[in-house]
Amino acid sequence: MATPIIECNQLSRDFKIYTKEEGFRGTLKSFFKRTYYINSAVKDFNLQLKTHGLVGLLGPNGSGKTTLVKMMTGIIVPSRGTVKVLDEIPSQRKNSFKKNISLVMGQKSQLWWDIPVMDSFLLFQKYYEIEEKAFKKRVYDLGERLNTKKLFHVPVRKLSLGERMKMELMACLLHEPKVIFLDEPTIGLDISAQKNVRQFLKDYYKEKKPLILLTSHYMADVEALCEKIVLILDGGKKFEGSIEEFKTRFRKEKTIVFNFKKQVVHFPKSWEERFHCDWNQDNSQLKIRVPEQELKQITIEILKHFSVSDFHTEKVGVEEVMDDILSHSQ
Amino acid sequence: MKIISKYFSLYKEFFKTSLSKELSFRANFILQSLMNVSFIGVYFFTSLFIFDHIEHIGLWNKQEFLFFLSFVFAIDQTHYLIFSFNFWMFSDDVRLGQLDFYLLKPFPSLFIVLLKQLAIPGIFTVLLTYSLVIYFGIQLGLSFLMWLSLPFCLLLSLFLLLGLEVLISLFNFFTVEGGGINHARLQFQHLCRWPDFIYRDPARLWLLPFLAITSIPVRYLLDVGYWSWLVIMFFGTAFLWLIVIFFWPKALKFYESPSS
Repeated sequence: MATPIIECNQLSRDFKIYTKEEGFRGTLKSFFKRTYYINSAVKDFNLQLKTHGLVGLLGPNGSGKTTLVKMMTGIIVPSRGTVKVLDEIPSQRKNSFKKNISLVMGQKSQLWWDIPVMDSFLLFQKYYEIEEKAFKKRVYDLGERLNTKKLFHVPVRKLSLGERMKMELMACLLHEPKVIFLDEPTIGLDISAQKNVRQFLKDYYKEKKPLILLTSHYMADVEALCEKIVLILDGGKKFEGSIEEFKTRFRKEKTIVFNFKKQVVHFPKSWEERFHCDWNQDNSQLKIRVPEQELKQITIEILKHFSVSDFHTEKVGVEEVMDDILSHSQ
Repeated sequence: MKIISKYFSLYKEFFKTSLSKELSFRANFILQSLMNVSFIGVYFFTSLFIFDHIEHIGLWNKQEFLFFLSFVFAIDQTHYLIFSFNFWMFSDDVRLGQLDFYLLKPFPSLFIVLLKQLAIPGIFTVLLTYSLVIYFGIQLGLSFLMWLSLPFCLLLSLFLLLGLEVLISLFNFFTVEGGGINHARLQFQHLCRWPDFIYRDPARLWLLPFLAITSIPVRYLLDVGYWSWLVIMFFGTAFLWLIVIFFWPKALKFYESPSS
């Protein structure tokens, strides 16, 4: 049996968090006597990723996604449990391991701020001992695909956020890692830049077939890229499977779209209150979100009482499912 | 040999990127270079003024003291050129999480943390101070053996200073905010700008590792009779680095990496 690329067993990480009461008195008190609590950012997390692929790590803020990625890359050491990536223990930080992985953090930059990006790339060439010919080819290819070639000699601080993120991606791919961790790679980018980055990642994956573990708040990223989803809530794994399985399992409501032959004037108030209703401007189209078990009944009722020209159930997005999960977990 | 060339090649790139950065800001570069020269000038002119009124400071006459001062600043400016910026940034690297990226690179993290950025304006003062060491060495008529020992003494001093500073900086992993640690590090560094004999005995014992940085090599260079002190310093420095190499990975385990 093949060794998993990523394997976590009962992986946990605790952080000691310092708290302080507000105001002058609280400040003085905490100077002499500190109060802490233990926050288990990741709890008994189990995961096995056996083959390459695009995997989305989903979860709300503070669910432990980034902590998990940091343990998988060896940046922080687990409190309990084990993690293996490419059959190595990340926290041992062996060079052989580090040469095969890469991490992009949307909120942090690893490029030198004040110098042209090409100077940073040259530094990466030395870090990863990339041969001159291969280096030039990769920089050219990646620059061509991301349309960044004209920016290679511009200082990083002069680049826009979208341009900088493309450069971060380039820097992390120069050594052609086998496992790529992308932590919010599209955060803060405008829609068009997000699309470009997504398309690039899709193409890159098709060609090089690495294992890409993606964490993102933008469900559009996950839907466009990922074949598999791992859901993490309160530090623990709640789901692992395909996007369709994810939707089937967690979607509690369905959206039906009705197009009416004429404007609807008297719609039952009790339905408006019970279900999420979204009307168009002239009240001739309704999007109504209903619990799955009531779907049939509500549809029959509407068809019976109103003259409907057509209707269909709308395809639900991962975002709506996540929204459902979060509102239920709260 | 291949390993040495690998490290050398990376260091060469560190130098080039630092140069690229520093020369991007021309006014800052010129100002920093001038300030470094005037900083050293102030020390030398103050010492010359003192020697206009007295014959000796402690054990040393004017020539010997100025040789000591040149040696001190040769170490100080080499440290400034190669390490100072990195030490200064280290607390921020830990607090703001830039250390994450150094831990991911396939090179020892200590190598990257200590050497990644050079303070290029220090080049001029390094050249100046090494010239002063040679000048005052000639004035004192150092023997051939002492000229041979000089590079070793400079390296030993630098390694002792560096080892002590890394050891102090390890506390950054526990205190998170490292302003106080940086301040302590600099104050200890200032101690070795004066000869050990200006401090009273109890203080001298306490501060020995810092006073040894410059005083022992210069004592030896001026009087070969101090060779045994130098040998002790050599073994002490080697032991210190063993401690550093042992504790660095242990301290890294405490690194929490701030949340993004």
